Amino acid sequence: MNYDKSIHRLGRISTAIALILIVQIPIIMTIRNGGAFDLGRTAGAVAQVLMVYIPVCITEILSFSPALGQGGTYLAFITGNISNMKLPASVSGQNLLGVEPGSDEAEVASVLSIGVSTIVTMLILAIGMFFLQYMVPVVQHPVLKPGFDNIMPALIGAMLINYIVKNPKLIIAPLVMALILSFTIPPASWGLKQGYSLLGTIIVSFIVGVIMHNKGWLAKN
Amino acid sequence: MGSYLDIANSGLLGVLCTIVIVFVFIQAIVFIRKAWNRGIEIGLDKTKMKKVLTNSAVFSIMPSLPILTFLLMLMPYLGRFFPWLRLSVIGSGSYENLVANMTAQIFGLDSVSDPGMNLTIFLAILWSMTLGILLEPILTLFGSKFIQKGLGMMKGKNQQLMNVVMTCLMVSLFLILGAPYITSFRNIPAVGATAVIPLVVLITSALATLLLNKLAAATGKSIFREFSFPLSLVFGMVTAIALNGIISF
Repeated sequence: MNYDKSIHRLGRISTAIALILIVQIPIIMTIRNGGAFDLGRTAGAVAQVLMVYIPVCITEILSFSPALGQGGTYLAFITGNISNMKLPASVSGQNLLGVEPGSDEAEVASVLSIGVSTIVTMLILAIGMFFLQYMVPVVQHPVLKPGFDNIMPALIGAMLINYIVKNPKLIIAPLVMALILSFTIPPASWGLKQGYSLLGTIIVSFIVGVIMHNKGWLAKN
Repeated sequence: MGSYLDIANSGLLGVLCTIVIVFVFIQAIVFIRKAWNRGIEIGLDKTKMKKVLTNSAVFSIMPSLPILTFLLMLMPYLGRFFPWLRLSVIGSGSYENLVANMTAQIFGLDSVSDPGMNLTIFLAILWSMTLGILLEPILTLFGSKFIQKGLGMMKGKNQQLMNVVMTCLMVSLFLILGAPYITSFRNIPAVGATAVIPLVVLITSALATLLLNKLAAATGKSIFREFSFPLSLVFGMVTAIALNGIISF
């Protein structure tokens, strides 16, 4: 069986098993404590969460999947912490090998990076479970806290620069979009509207990028 | 009836959560093995692949540490096992916190830290946190193959256009994720000069990456390039600490 087929098969089977194992937790806990379960209000809570997250989920799948590759997508969406851990790990691995996203080599780099990143996070959290009282004061220390609070912008800067250097013209449209959206959407609702903003920016960026490509404006980069 | 926390910290929930974590741990190892074999098959150098593994391991340490803060925030109210599961597998710090509080509010509480928390609300939180996030893996289950197939077709037809499309996608992703930091100076009236720190960090980590890559090219020492990502991350964090110290002085 070729790699593409076998990675999808592995991804689908392992994701399905993981989903069953995850869902059995509320099922078993509810069966064991059924007397305390309020179906009506729980369904209301689930519906409200889904209403907020359905657009976010769809956008994240559409936008992260091509960047993460085939195997990387299955692994990242079951292991979580995608934008702050798995995506940067995948991009870093691809940059290290100097390969184009979407290539066979990028696929390998992405899965290796996401796999190791998953294991490291699990180990740190497992250690954290037992030594939380010693580790958290380090993260929350007043001197160090600004450093930990700014991990995300540091990641974005390190990831973005390679693409700017490679193809500076392609950054113009998404940058203008990001600035316009950032100035028009109130910070308080940015998190909820980020999915729509991302989708809109990708579409505009694609259109402008394809026009630039067809007109030959990117040829000299 | 005892506190709902007796159930949240029960051995049963501990075992159920451990099973998931162990399964996903094994899943990650199986994927790594598969990718490793694929790398050999397409002629990738083993040393290079080892460097990818090391780079990812080193890089992943720093972003994992703040997740511990979310563990600390959730553990007193949801017990030790469920937050451990959700932050190790499938979830993310911000999502878990938001959904737990959103559910508590539907039950009329201020947040999960409200003294009114009980077993009914705890069970509802288990359900909402679980079902709310399951859509993504379900969509990958059915949709990922088609997305990748479409990309494969485009790659086969026009590699150059594929590169343009992928660059547009990646740059859009980073810029939207980074937009609040790029425009962080907007918060100066509210929080003062420290509002510029995220923007400065973003720029300095980008410059650090550039510098380390140039250094690797100039000296021929690939170690600068191999660790440019984790080093730039640390450089950005140190900049934030230093800048905060200067502004607050």
